[in-house]
Amino acid sequence: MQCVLRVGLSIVLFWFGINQILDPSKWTYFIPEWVVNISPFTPELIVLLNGGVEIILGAFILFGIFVRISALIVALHLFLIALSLGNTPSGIRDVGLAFMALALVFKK
Amino acid sequence: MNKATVTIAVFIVVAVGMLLIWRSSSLEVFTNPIETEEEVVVEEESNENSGGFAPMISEEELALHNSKDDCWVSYAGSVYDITDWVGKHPGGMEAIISVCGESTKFEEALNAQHGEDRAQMLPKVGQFIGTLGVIEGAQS
Repeated sequence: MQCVLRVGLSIVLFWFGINQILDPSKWTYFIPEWVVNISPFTPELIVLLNGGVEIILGAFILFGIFVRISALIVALHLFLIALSLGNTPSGIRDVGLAFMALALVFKK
Repeated sequence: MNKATVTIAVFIVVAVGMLLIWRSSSLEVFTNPIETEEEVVVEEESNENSGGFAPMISEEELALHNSKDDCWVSYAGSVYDITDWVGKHPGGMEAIISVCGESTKFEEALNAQHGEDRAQMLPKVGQFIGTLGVIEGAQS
């Protein structure tokens, strides 16, 4: 059953990662101001790198490579996004996804 | 961790890395962020304070710009043309089109979906048009 969780999470990470790489300008809107302020990179480059990392983590989780550490990074990433979004539908969705990732971290 | 697993992991990282290098070379993603920020600030100032005059937009005029090809929205009394950005909305075009030409409805939708912090990005994704003028009796 763990496989179902891994495939589900990977689909989400692939979709977001690929879309961020295809058109980064679409996603710069979602980068919090504090991230832009502390980063030496342009918002578009931040989105590109974020998309790349999400695809790599998605692939690792899908193929069963470094699953725990990958899922932990994804969970922390999603919790940060959820925190940034606050009490909104997107924020609550990301909390749910973060707990999905945590389930993989604590798998037997 | 066997050799095959490490090989696959390295392959994935290298493949995605190459994809990023290729993609970043075709986009202007290495522009100096400080310059970009300054440009945005200057653009906002020129938009919002051109000659110290911001055109007054009525609710009726705002409501006329309610399609994907002509989308104005109002937030906190400022009217923005976000037509160019409608197709770029990650949550889909339809979510934005439903609030084109709206003020209160747009504010509520933006705050509910993304939180009030995202409103500060409006001048960056849209073009400042003017200030929303409330005509007596026009709003309930």
